[in-house]
Amino acid sequence: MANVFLYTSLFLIWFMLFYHMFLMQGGYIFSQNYKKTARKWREKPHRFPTVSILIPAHNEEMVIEKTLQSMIALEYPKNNLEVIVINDNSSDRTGEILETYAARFPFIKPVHTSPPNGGKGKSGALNNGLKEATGEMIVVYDADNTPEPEAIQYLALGLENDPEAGAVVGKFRVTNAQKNLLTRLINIETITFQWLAQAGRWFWFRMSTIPGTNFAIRRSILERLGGWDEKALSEDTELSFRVYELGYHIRFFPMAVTWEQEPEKLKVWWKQRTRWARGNEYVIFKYLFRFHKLKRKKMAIDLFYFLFTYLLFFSGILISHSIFVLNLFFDLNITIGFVSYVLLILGFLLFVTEVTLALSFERGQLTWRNFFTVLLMYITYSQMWLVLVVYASWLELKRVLFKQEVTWYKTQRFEGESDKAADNKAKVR
Amino acid sequence: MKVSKPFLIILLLLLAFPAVTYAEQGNGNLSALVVYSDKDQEVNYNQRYLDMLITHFTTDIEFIHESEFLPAMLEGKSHLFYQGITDDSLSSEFRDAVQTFDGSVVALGANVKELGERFSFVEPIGEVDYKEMYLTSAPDEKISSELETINVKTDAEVLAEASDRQRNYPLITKHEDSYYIGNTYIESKFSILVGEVLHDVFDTAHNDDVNRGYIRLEDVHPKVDHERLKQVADLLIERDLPFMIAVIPVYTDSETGDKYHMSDYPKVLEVLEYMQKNGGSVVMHGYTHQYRSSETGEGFEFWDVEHDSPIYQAPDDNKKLKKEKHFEDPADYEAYKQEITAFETGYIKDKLETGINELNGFGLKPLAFEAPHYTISQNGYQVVSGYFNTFVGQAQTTDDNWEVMGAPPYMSHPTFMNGMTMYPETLGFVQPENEDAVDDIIEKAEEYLILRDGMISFFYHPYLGPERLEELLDRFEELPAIDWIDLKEENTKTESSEVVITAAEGTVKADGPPLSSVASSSITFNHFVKGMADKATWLLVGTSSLAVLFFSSYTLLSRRRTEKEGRSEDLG
Repeated sequence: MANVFLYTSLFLIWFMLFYHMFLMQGGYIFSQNYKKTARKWREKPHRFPTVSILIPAHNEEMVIEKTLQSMIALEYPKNNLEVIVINDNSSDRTGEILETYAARFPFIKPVHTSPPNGGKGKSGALNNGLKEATGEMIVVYDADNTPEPEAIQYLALGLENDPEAGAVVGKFRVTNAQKNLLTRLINIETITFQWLAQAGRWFWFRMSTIPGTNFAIRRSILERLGGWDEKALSEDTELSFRVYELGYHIRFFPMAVTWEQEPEKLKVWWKQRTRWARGNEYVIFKYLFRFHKLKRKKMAIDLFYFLFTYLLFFSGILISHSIFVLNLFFDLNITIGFVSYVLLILGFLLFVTEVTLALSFERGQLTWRNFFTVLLMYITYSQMWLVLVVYASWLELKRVLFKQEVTWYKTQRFEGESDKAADNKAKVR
Repeated sequence: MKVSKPFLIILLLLLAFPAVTYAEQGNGNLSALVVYSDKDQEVNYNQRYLDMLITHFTTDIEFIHESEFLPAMLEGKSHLFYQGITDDSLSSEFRDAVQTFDGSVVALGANVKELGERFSFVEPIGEVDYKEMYLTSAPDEKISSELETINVKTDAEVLAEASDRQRNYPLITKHEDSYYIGNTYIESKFSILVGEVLHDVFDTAHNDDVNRGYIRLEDVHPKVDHERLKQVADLLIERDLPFMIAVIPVYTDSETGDKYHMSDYPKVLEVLEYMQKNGGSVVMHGYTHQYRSSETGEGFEFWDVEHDSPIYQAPDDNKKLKKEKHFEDPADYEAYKQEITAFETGYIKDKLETGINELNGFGLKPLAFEAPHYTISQNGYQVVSGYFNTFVGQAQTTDDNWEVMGAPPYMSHPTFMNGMTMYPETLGFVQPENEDAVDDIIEKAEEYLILRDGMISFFYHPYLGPERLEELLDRFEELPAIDWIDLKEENTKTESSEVVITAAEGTVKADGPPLSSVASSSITFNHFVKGMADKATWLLVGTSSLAVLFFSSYTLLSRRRTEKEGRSEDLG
């Protein structure tokens, strides 16, 4: 019996690992080619579509100024650009700072909201901003983001050159990577996630997930979709699915770069990740049960992937961990033998090589220090994810069973700085 | 370990006459009638021993008690045998028929005086004890055998003689086409001489230069020591000798009742697969080699030893079986017999079906059947013949006593085996406690070599390790070359409801719906799945190793490129 469990978990786990291998291979090929595409697009004559940047801000006095400065530094024709900052029911100086800048720079347009229309969360704020927006292209940034000057240009190039793209997703990088072990781990995770999952899926399937920040979406699409779903737990995974459903793909274009801060404290990280996990679980069940109704079956890939990650792969890991522990105390008559050790080692090596490969695409990231952090990551950070999924699933179960209302707006602040992270990065691994 | 096999009993007989042939050189239509004087009207073990000897030449054979003989029965017969087991006066019809029959007549044992003029060439003059016997054509090749025979006065040709080392007595005599065999009790070794003479009787030369033989590794069940098994196998493989493996698919622990299958001992299975690939042929040696609670290899499977009867009841039943005298109405007895025989048939079928499918499900192809302890009922042979066409070992020849068993000295097709070819075991086995076991086997082999196509066959228990087998094989090399039988060359056929396994010209074929044997039991199915899972895991290892290799080299390439691009950006 133990053998049946062991093999089942083994194949579940390895199915996932093979998928990751496959994605990483795609990510690698993509990484070697996307710059050529970018150069080609830049060199040929092109227009600059009108762009509305939406920045939801709720009590962001610590970071908003820096964000606004990076907006000013954007290399994009300012007459084709508007920056709509939604000061959503802030009780701090956010509005004040915003007005100062708006007075000096006409393309910065403040929108102040308060209940009953405001203060309903990020989706609500974005929808409020969308009402004011005039651009053909809507770009979203979180309030703590500092995009590189060329970011908007590249996002625009993506949409201009790819009529089938409903949205273009840029890359985000971590500003506080060197702050502590946690931020180093998050930094490695985000790089790997983007090159493996985002680039890999884009390469093979023309799919990637819209993150909470640094992406452009056609205004026409948003209008057809009726804006953001204010009830969705993770509005962007949800938005991605709806874009696919319209028959568009979502382009990953890492030339557009933004920088953001990541949680520096475990507690904050925990809350943020719990929310993502719950959001993804919500999406799985929402779409799984109406899968037959979906027009674009391509989503099955992502749905299946989520399902695998949160249910099957996760169960596999739990079972194999349990068998490992039980086998220390009881003779389970495990017959698999030597090959299991080989697989154990190979699983680890795969993890290490995939992560280091992703790091090698980013300048200055493949350092010895990071390399050793990767080794450590496997037995610490990655394992924490297990506990997290259990916890998130428990919360989701409770919510469904007891019909609880979910209330959240954003991740809590600390040390006077924003720890806001890009939402909806699906968990790497 | 095998208890008793040889306890042979006694054969009487031999005779022979023509009919259809099985002989390699078919010479005409050999057809034999066997007329016997015996205590039973029905055919019993005495006739079955004769059956095994005659069916080396022809399977066209009929048996009739002397009291029921009718002259018309001789129509179309080429050979007449008379087997005198009990002293009796013979009918004048039979006596007249013996005189006028124009084929060969062979008389064995008692009542030769009753056979009239045709057998007046011998005059019985009382019984004598002897110690050895030989063909008069080869007086130096003696066969040791302490028995008694009817001494005769004769002027006729003496084909075989017995000796008490002082005096010689005629054993087999011949006058024209009439043969007299004076031994009333034919123990297996006497059959060597009788078998040789029958070639003359049937005028069938069978002159192959080389005697056939086989080596059988015995009682290979899931719990055998796989290392020793491998050593023993390697010994045979190194010498390029084909061999048989008597496999018991299930081992039952007599104390706990736990059953172990080959899948529980993958090492043993691995060795068996290796053996099968390298000259070994699997012989199904029962399914569990036990009935009731005995240990595998020790117990009987197709015989209820406690009641000395066929398996007429479930192992946990222990009813006294009823005899004819318990029934007032003979019809009731018949009905009872049918009922218990039907039980036995179902029991054996189930074992064979399961055993064949399980072995096949594990990739082992049973090409023949060997009854545990060589015990099985007459009905059992009928049932087995529905599954196998090849039978290995010795034959129990009566349903009254399991110890009554024997083997012909050469291959044959006993009619009571319903078409199966019998590969007799003639030399016994290496008994661990017998220091002279090897000498004994070789001595016996020399005796069987006297018979032109005498079978040289023995078995060996792998748990003994290779040493004694090696000694034995070395000794065999000093004898004339033996054609060791490879069952894969023998046109065997094994059939269950799921699979048909045939062997011919060295290849074994299994025909049946794919995986049906595998799916026939959860044991083989699980084993199959495990095997696939095992292969899959190694596939995982292979692929992911490649991926690790590729990703590492990508990393080096990519890092170089990234840093180069970085520098040029810095400059630019």
